[in-house]
Amino acid sequence: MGVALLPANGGKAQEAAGFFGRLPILGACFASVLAALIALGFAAALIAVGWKYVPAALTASVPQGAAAAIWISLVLVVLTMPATLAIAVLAAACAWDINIGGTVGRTLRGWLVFSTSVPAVVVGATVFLLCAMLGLRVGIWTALAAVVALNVPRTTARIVRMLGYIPAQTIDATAAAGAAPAFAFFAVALRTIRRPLAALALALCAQLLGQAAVIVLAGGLTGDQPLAVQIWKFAPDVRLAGFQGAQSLLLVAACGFFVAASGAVSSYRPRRRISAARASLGVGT
Amino acid sequence: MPQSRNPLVETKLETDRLHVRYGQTHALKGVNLSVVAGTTLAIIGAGASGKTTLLRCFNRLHDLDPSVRVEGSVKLDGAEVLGPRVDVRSLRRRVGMIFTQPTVLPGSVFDNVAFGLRAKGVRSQAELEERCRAALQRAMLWDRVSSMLRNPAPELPRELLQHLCVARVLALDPEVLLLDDPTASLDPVSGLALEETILALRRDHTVVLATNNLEQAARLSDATCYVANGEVVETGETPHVFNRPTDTRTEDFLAGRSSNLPT
Repeated sequence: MGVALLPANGGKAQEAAGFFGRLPILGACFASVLAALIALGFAAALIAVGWKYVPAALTASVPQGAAAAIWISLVLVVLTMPATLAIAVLAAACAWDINIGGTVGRTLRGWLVFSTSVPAVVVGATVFLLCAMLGLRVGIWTALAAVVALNVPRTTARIVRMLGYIPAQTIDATAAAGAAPAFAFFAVALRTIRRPLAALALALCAQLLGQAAVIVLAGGLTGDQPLAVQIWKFAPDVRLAGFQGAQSLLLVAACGFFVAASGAVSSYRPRRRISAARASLGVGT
Repeated sequence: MPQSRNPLVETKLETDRLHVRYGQTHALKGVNLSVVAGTTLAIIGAGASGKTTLLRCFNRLHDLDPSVRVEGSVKLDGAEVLGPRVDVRSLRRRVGMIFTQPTVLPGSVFDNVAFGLRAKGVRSQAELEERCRAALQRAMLWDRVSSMLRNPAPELPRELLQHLCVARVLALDPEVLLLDDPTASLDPVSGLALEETILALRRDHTVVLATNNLEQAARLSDATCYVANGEVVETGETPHVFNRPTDTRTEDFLAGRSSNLPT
């Protein structure tokens, strides 16, 4: 019976290979711990600076109470989220199925790749310049348009990605039943992705709450400000550090609420009643 | 429009020099085939021989994939179906298709059966209910699901899902049924139950059945067509093809010899 013997230095070579093989894993662990520490550090700093100012920040009149600012932020979200989602869904339909979008859909698909990387400042400046060129007054509506314009490409790209998970057999079955592509999209595709779409809408709310730069750029807002804009505007004022910390905490909490809701919606699984259905049909399990 | 050459033997479906290419792959190579109205044609052949590709030509399902090129002629009742002015949605309602995997659409059992009707523009609830009931009865599913029409369709037991797909197609009252190996994903008992349904449907429809199951082809079909590597090798009456094949490649295939595996 032959036994294959390793060369004398085989053990060391294996040990070395094992060590280098584990390096990426060690690196990943280190990066994860670092990221967690940074996040915890930020959270601790925010809480340390702002926690005791939260009640005062909510009711302050100068520069503005956080409660009013949150209210304005939510109004902004309510106005922009449905518009963003509606435009994105229609654009996604065109990009997803060339029978709906045709050449526009193909172009849109290419455009989506690049448009998601356009910085917010460029979108804001473009809306601002367009308004100036058209002689329109810069104000709340231009700010809203800027917010929608900023978020539509990313939202569209995400919806197109969701639609990509719909099985080809489903598309075949709808077409084979004589359904027009647009009917199939609204009756089947949208219903299939309704849960991830709802999660996306909630995540979009969190995203919209935190957007300040584009509103500052395109809005020229006077009077009450959304919370993110207010934090942004008064950030350099060191005397208001406590208020800023409190307001940042409130903003993070509001965003966190939407993100958590989004996570809950996407991971929710309705209770299946297959067993009951099978039992009522007299089918064995 | 219908062109009856012989009132007793009317051709329902016909292909002439039909070629299909997926990119560089030549999937169908000049297929000439005719299906007599009111009969069942079984298309047999090894995997990837072109059976499904051929079926998808009859209802122009290849249109969904821009990379597929279809050349030649496909006629339904003597009228060309590959032309640019053909109403494809209307064609698909006349030529219904059942796929290998049962595909349940989101919504209730009723929504699934009514899908094609709603897509066609039927809005009357009474008409929808009546036609869905009739379709479910013909699919031999009514007795089992009549009390759970509003239940989510995915909750139905797996063995009933293919019957549901049959009902969805039947609701549109198609003239032709394309069956793409419909029992492949079912257990033998459920498969036989579906075969019973197909046997009942044969009386009122022209059926084209692509199958890997030779016994099923022998049981269900009037005529059989053997396809290998995208070419029709032999077509004839089922007993004739199974008992006295004229081509050695057919004989080899039926005997389980691997002389014509896909190249």
